[in-house]
Amino acid sequence: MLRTLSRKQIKKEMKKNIVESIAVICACLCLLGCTNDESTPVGAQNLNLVFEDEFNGEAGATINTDNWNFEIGNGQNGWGNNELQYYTNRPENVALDGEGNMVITAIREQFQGFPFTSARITTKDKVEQQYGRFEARIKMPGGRGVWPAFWMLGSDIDEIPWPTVGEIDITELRGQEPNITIGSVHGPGYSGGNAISGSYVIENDRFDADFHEYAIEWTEDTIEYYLDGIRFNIITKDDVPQGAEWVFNERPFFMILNIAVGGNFVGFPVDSTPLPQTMVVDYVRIYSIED
Amino acid sequence: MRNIFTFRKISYILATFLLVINYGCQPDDEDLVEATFPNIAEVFIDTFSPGLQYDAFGNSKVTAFDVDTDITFQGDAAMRFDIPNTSDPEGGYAGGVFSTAVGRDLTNYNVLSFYARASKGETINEIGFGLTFQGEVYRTQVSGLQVGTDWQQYFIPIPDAAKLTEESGMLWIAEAADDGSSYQLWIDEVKFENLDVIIQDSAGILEGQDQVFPANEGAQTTISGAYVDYNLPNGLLQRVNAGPAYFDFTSSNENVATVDNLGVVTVLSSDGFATITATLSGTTAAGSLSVGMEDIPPSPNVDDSQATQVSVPIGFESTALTYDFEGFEGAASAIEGNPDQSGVNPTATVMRTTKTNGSQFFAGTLINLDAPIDFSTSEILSLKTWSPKAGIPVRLAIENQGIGADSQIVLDVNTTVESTWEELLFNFSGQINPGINYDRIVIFFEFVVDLPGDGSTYYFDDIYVIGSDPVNGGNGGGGENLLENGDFEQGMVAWEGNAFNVQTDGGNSFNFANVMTAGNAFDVNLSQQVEIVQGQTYTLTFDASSDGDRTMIAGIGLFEAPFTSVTQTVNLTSTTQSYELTLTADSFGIVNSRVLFDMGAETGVVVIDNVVLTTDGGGGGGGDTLLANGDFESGMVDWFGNAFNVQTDGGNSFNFANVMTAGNAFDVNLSQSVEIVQGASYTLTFDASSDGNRSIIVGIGLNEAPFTADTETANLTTSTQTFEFTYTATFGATNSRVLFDMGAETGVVVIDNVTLVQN
Repeated sequence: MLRTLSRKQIKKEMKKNIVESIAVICACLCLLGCTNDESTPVGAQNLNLVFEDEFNGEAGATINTDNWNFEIGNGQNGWGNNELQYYTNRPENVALDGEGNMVITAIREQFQGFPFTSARITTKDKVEQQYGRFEARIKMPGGRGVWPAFWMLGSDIDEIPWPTVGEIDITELRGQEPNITIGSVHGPGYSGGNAISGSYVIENDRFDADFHEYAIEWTEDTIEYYLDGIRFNIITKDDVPQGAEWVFNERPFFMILNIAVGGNFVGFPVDSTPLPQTMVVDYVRIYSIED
Repeated sequence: MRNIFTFRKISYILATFLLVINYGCQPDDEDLVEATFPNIAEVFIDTFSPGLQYDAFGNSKVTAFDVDTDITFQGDAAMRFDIPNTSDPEGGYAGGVFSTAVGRDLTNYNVLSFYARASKGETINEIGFGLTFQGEVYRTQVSGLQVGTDWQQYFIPIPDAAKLTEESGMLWIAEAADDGSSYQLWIDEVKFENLDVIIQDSAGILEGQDQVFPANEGAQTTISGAYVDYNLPNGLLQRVNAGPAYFDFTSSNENVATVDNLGVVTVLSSDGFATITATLSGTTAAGSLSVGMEDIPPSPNVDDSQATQVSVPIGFESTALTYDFEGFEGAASAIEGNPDQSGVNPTATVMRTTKTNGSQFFAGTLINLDAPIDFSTSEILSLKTWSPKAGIPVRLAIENQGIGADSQIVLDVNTTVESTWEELLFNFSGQINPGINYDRIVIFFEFVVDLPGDGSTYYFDDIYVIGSDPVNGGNGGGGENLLENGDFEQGMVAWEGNAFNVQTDGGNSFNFANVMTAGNAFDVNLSQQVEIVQGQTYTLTFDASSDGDRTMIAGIGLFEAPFTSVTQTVNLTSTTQSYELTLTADSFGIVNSRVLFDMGAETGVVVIDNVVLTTDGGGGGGGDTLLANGDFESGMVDWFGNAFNVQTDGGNSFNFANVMTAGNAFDVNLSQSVEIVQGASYTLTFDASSDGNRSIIVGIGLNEAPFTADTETANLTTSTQTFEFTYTATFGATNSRVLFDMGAETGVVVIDNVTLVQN
């Protein structure tokens, strides 16, 4: 999510994704045949719930600020990505919906000199954890140039610069490819367009049509990616480029939920981009994984 | 569509040879009720699907379609359209309908998909399904579909497939080349599918607008502009224009208006309002239609005792004016004391007309006016009559004095009571010719063909246009024209300058100048001397047009050296527009001043008419607005009227109304109650715009009978303008209001930031 890409890098990354997508499709075809078979569970068994936000509350109410911070504005250079939105904490952009969900809404409107508004919330200094299962059930936004993400950064980002501090993207998608979810890790030597990524393609469906559960299970040296209980990618210490450092055994991470509009990763929205777009989050949970 | 294109048939019989279809691709239909009609999905894969035939539109190039076996997306064949040159004498476009004689059951599908490419980048004008030469109830199409030189897949979603139990229109297209030159368009793999990758984003009727249909009992209109916006697999919105039959319509008041399943609205009663809304598969569609009329206000008594000319309204109360009237064909007419000062007409003086024994059945009374009737507030004339007989027709005719009978329009209305004053309404809506100045009124009692006069004596009074100011000439509102012959109807008087050249056409006179060579703006000038007071603010209004686009300078200035002036440049077009300039004489002010039009800087025609110069009440500003929610940010509160409809866009709220049919100005109204004090000066400011050029009437008025009002006309354009009007109240009551009457013309009226300040 936090990345600065050259054109070349974008091309490279796209190519990579396509290759991986093909691989993932093959994998999915195999997996889909056995998703209902409860005798072959995937993922850690000894989960211990340590944090959850179910987003219960009245429609229009603000989120629980014991758990969440608002990030306001456009950052520097559009949060480093030439993003076009201005993040606010207005209920128009982020609020509970009264039906047990938190809704982030990206709107096409002039605000503080920017052409779109949206919201970005983090658990920095409030909910941080090293290792465990991080999951959220989300109905994604879509539309060309819309870039939603559920992701994490290393807790001491204020002292240690990105990408050394580490970034784990549990899910992000490009609104013009609403059937592809992408999970990545960024570290020194493998950030931005060179991040280590895997993607999952759903056939005859799209992630902005309904809720899906996005999760990682993060243990020492390993991050496993899950969609609706299906493990579709495993990234390990061995996957980092030669000479690069695996930075995910050092510190706790905090979570971020946001919708960006425009930016290097996704391109700019156009007049026929459907807006407003909403990211509807049913819950966010963190489990510790017991041995 | 059927009316435009005549029938020409090109049958592709070969389709029937290929009845073997790959039914293996059909959706699983085990759980479905057995369909009455075949649920074949394929339209054109490698050939025509069973029963499919092609009929070209009659005025298209009928040979444009062929089956191509060389260039295909996949398989053996594709459809190819040789889009002709738009100048092709055999037809300037390609188009037609692919239909089946037996309808198909498409309820299992949600989208028509196909692949297309073209020999050059092009925009297909219309492509869709649901159209046959027998009907178009579920006509569905995309307009302006972009096609490139690579094969690409396209989707036309079905707005509500549950309704397509028997659809014969499989595909239709109408395409003319963007740049006029011929090219080739290929379409392949045309089939209905059931896909989960397309999301319905929103749906609407009436292009998503809230429109107002001011209509009386018996009127009908059809809900048009129905659409559904879909979020396609590439994350882009695509609008599908849908037949209204896909939608389910509801009327909020079935006593006032009903709506059928094809979207036809029928007005059953003029008493009250109904709002027509729609849903598509249970979700609410944007846009609505408000049906109904504001009540016609009862007419006040006309006061023309201070009138400076004979013009409507007429109350026969002036002792200074000479009313130019005449009884003819045996009718004896005179202005006399009111023989029955009671009921709706307690005024002192009225017109008598006696239809003498044996007079012609068309004996009557005519009144020549000094100025044409102003129908800007409504096209309804009100007349008070006193007749010894009930149930006899009263004919009211209006015409231009110069043209006479050829310009005459008439209405007959029966009296309902005998020997009692009553008000009769003559609704000329739809009959008024805007090019004619109606400056003569003719009134006939008991206008029954071949029935001679029997000596009965009738009276009439209070000739009044509904919605207008009932006071004639009382210097109300500071709005009196400081100019003479501003409408040029008096010919070559009052004005001067080398551009002064009055012409008359269709009974209307105007100033016409044609600049042959361009020079200084002041080289060609039209002026009228008028006193200008330093520091005073003036409003100059006029109508103008040209034979093309050109500019002109208009304003006020000294009529002697150093010729100081305050002017503005106005843009003229070939359409007559009304201009309103606000000019403050900051630096000059003497008796020998003038209104000026300088037109010498550009060549071309300048037509000027209806020039009015008025003083504003002066000052303004300062005080607090008397209105609540003038910026509409508080939503649907404080205001009322059938035009009251607050919308919000980009965080700003405003009032939005869209008038579908023209009628009386007050038929579509936005008002807010406010106390008005008689004789006090008020300044009304607001921002307004429209989707084109149109006018509205704005002002202050009573919120109860007799609905006396002081109003001005605001000319709206597509740009938001700030308007400021100053009124001196000719009435006063607690139950008064600010009013916006917008029913006289069709189109959008957006109003925001309304303030009313007492000066």
